Amino acid sequence: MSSQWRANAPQALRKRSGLGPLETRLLELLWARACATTVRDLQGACPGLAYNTIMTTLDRLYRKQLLLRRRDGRAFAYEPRCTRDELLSELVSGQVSEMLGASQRSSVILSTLVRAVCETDAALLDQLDALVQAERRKRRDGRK
Amino acid sequence: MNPTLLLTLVLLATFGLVGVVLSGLLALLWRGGLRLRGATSLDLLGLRLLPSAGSLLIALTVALPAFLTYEPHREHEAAGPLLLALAAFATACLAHGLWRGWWACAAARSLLRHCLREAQPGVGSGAELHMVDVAEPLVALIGAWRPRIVASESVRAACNPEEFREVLAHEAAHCATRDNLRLLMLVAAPDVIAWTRLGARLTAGWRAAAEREADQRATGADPERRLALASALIKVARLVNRGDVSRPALGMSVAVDDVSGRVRGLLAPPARTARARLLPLLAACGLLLPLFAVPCHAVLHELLEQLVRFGR
Repeated sequence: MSSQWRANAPQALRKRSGLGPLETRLLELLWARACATTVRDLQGACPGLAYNTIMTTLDRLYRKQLLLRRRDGRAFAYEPRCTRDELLSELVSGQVSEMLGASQRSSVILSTLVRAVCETDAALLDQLDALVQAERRKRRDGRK
Repeated sequence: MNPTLLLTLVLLATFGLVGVVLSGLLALLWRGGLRLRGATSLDLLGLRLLPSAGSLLIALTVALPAFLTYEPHREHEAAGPLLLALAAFATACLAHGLWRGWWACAAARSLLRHCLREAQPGVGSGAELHMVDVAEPLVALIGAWRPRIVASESVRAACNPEEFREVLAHEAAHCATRDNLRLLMLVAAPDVIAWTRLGARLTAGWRAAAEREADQRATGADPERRLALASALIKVARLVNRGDVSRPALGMSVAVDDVSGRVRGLLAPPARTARARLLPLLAACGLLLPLFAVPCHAVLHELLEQLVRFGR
């Protein structure tokens, strides 16, 4: 993760994830607390926000699979599913993956080292690996 | 009709007609068993670009002088429907080629922008290297005009330093021969072959040959380097194959049998570098054609006149 990214993490997160400002703010608060937090606890940190607004936003984040939740008495306690860096990395991976997926449908100007490999090719890779190892051994023995 | 407009239509129609004839000829040769086993990437590039480059050459160096020499300049002539149809077809081919080229460049730019936003500069050989921390096992040379090598940390982690150096040398070899610019030419070639499976096959063949040649150029005859690159190829292929990667992001037409061929090629003693045979032949024909066509200009002009008048 670049240092520029760390400095602008909330903005970068918003820009990358398409999350709203309130969703980003609550997510940042949850990351700062590093433990499961109820709506009531968060309301203390966001004095201007109504209880229902926070609850709805947290529920939305939970449905987006960004939060985990468990029952805490009659309420839910929420905690982030992953760290900020992990989420940013996932988002970048997703975007890069999408772009590379698009390159399958048309010809993006790129030369990749290795292209499609399907599940059934694993055995072939094992065979090739064995060949490389055998060649390595041969060279090592030759040098001795 | 305005003589300049008529000349433009004649050139476009010639481009379209010759393009179709050359594409048909290429398809017939392919069907007849032309497979060019062991052909160099330059040969395949020449073959793939033959219809569009050949038709452009004939339009500009044969049809244009013939028309300018023998066409009475003051005469205003109406264009027939065949000329208009052929010119429209050629315009559609050119526009579609430009669109494909533009789209490919835009997609590469977008991918590069996504990667570079996240990238850390690294030490590469030959081209700018950018390291990205993404799950996809990405090692690629991206972009046609100013290509950059983008590699993911997962690849660096999977390879030992020697192997990773060879991976970068492989991409730098692509950069040195401007393979991405050649790929852009293949993608944007304005001909009917681009709409057929033959076009895709020739491009895939070119890609495979370009990869093999980049392997050879990167490692040379050094057996240790060849072994390191072979090992890196297998490791990267395994990463692409791994189940925890969300989708086959690097999936394109060249499959693992290509990796297999490349690994076996690297393990074998280095072969002598194959020289392009077809491309010099095509280039020589292209240079000589305008000269040999000079005595035929009058006949060619008559044929063009028939084309202009046809169906009028």
